[in-house]
Amino acid sequence: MLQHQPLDRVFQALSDPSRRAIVDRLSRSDASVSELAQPLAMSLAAVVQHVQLLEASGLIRTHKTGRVRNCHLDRDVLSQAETWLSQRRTLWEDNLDRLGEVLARQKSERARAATLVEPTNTTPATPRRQRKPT
Amino acid sequence: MTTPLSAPITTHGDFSINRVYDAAPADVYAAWSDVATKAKWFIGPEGWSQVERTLDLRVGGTEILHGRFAATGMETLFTARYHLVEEGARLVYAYDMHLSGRHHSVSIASVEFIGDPEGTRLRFTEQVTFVDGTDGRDGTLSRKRGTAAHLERIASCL
Repeated sequence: MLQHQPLDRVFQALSDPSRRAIVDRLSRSDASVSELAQPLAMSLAAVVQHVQLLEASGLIRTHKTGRVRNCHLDRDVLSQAETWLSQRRTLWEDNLDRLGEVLARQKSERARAATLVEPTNTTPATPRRQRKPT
Repeated sequence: MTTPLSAPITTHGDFSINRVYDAAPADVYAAWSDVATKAKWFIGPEGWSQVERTLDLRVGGTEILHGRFAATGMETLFTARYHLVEEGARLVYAYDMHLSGRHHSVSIASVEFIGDPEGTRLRFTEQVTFVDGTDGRDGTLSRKRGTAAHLERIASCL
């Protein structure tokens, strides 16, 4: 089985459309940060941040020559990211976490309703409000 | 996207996820059998919105969840058929995933609702066959098919 932590970082890195555009661009050839910035409607500073996140995930490597930072796609990491099984599992873990939040909300709503209807209810309501997932 | 030069690769796998919920098995089961409750948690990731949802929870009954990503226009289609329905105890269903019209995977999923001192232990097990030619270990084929489509598919399941 694959290790989950690095893959999580890869998926996180690829969760952003701008970063996917950068990876797609690098799949054609290496490029400098300013070359990456050109087709993207964003500041160079923003591109640098995306590049740093991609590098931290292991998807790309960078190398500085003089004042130019060149970026290179690590295809092995990308093909590892294509391991759908791991991604399918993550999908279901997210679903089942959300299910837990729904059940917790139901429980606290019922407890609150019970205290409103029966003030002498012996089981104290301890509403554990959870934030709605957005 | 170009057509793969060789026949698509078929890959297989399985996984199990365990969760303990502070709720009675009947309540956890209801979150799977009631379409309105299921719609609160059985959804796509951020950026995804529902197009259609149906649920007919009985043996031979089907479930559909059709959605779309606003940013890319990528469509996800989950179609399931229930093979085992034991109220409050077990569900077994087979499902297909289509991504923008392409058949991505075929799965058998089992859900067990097990009584536990803390509430309910849920065990989800999926056996999956990926049918659209993706080999997780070898990037050769994927390079022929183009990186962009793969990235879109990764994003679609995040």
